[in-house]
Amino acid sequence: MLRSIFPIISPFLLVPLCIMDAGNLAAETKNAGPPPRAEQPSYEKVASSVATMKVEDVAWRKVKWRTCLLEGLKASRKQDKPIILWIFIDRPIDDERC
Amino acid sequence: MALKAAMVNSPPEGTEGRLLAEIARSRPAPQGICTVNSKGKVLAWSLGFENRQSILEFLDHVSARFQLVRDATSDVTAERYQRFPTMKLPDVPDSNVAIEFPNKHGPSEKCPLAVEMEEGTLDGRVIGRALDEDGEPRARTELQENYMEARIQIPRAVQREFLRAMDHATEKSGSFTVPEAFADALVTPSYLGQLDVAPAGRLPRSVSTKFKIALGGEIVKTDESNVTLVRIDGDSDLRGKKDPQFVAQDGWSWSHDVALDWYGFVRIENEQITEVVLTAKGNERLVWEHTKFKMWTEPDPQNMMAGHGIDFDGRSIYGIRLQRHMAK
Repeated sequence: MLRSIFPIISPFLLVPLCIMDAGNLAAETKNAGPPPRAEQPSYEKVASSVATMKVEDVAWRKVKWRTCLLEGLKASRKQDKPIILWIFIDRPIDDERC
Repeated sequence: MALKAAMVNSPPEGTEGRLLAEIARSRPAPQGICTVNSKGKVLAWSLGFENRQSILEFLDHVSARFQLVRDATSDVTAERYQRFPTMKLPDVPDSNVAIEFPNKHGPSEKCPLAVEMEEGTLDGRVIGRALDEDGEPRARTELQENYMEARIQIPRAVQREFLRAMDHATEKSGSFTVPEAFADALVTPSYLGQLDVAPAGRLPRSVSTKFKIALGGEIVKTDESNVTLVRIDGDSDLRGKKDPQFVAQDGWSWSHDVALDWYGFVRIENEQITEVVLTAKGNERLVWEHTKFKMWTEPDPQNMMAGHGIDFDGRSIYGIRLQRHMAK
């Protein structure tokens, strides 16, 4: 839930949220039932559908989190700013889920 | 900058471990927002905020304190808030222990906070979208019940199980059952919402009421002699909820049903899995609430660790792409 809060402290607050086209998958979802085998999507089409699902412009992605404490402290001195630490539980530091 | 709480609670050895231990000394909870000065001394913690404006005021407050103690190594009091600025917790005085640390790690030294991954691990992400009544992806992608991403890693040992199953595919049809561990790694992270609502029911104080994953593989011929594709097809139905006996204790209540149809491919080159691409679509029912907190009406920042109430009943779609990790 933290990440739903954090966008508002970033300078990117004013960037409008982008509603991405999730490709064919959403459209296909409207039609229930699997297609006949001959019409099933190819490897390339599946890969393409997956690629279009990612929203690059999602607000929380624009906070550039560092992972090394020493680098953070160095940046703090250089930029003369305090550090915000997001302390969370259990997940790998580069996981998006929280 | 993000830090794993597990490392804050159990700091590693070395310089960073000592810095983390000093940070952890004043923590009011295992998770939260912490601010420190350039020497790693805690300025203020907060677990929540009165409203969105309060977050900005907290940052202004911390910045003002930083100006006074930016490089101080002693007499830096750690302020703590349950909710800034209205619910203050007792301050924690400085230990007055100055921790010396270098500017950066040495050339042969690995940062203890870095994520290590074995070469050959399949690494990537699942992306999920909730669909609206018109079948379009829901907006407000900053909310995990609308848009989610999560890391998926499949270790080599689990990949070998898949390859063994493929080797034993029936000669006539070339089909086989995707091994349980491989299928589990793909399906169980594929759900909307935060970590606490995992429908597999494996979290503490949660139960599984249905757990079905049935993925089949079918070998597909390709034009490249060293490449094999395996078509993946199947369905899953995971239903989990908060263990009812604990709802009265802590007030949290949730239930999550996710039923998906899966389709995609596993690519094998030179007898090694190099890529997985999968899509899924289906129905999802997610409810998350608290019996006492006003999660439906209060501003999100007030319940920052728990978020707002969720009541989603609709269609969802997922996409997974994993690639073989190569050491740098």
